[in-house]
Amino acid sequence: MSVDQSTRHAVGPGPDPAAGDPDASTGRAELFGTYVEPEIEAMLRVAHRLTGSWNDAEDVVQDSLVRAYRAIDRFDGRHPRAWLFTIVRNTHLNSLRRTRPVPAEDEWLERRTPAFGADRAPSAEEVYADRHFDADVEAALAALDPRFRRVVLLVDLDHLTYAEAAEVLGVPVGTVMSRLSRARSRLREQLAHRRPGPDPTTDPKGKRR
Amino acid sequence: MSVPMLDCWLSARRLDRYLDRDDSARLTDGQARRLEHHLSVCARCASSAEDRMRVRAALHRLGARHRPDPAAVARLEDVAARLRTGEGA
Ligand SMILES: [Zn+2]
Repeated sequence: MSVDQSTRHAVGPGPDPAAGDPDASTGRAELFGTYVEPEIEAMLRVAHRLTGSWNDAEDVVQDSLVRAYRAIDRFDGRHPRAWLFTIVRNTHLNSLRRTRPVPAEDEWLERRTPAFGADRAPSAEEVYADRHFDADVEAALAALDPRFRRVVLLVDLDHLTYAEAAEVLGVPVGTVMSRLSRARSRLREQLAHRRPGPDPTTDPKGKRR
Repeated sequence: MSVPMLDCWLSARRLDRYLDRDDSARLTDGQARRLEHHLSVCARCASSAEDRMRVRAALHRLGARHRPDPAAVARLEDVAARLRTGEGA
């Protein structure tokens, strides 16, 4: 739906920007394989934070890959992730301009499904205590102002560096740091009444609500 | 208790940077050592550090649980491979 057919087309048979110059084409392919392909999942995560939907995110990343491929010979090799995330952000902004006027507010956990990547097997008690605490953390996250939440999502859930998050959000690194710090202290305040104990059903006299 | 207030104030300011180890705002070795020492003697700051680590760990778990659909990643990897090999043909 929000897919630009012209870019989509370029993925299939179409004009190759490097066609006609085999050397340039080889170099481009190598750079692309080195810098871009390993980051596809990270790009998808970032696009999801921006669009609020996995479907839109996939479209944005697909367009971003095409752009990255075309631009890679101008990339200086430094901070490839930051460079890619900038492309993702710009692609997203472009697609917003093309499609709907109002950006989707991030339904960051739109489906609270235990999703695809559950990748560990801790003890039963651990699972129990963690699950309760995690539910509280999710609730506290959801209660944050979106501007603050987004920084936490990018840095703490998606493991972006401050600089990378700054690229995604289009703000200075210092802004990322101050938002992060405020967001985290807000989270701690919200969770202050929730210390993991042997009996998570005992509810201590709750601080704030 | 003889813990200087200044160290508590500094610790609160630096704990996140200490835990994040982010290149944009890494503590110097001296700052990190001073903080570590303070945490070893100040129960309040040590407990604050624990709180932060606990929330962090929960956020990491959340991130691990909400990963993209592997099928979507695979589709995009396919797009990328076709770009790289210049095919489609
Ligand atoms: Zn202290």
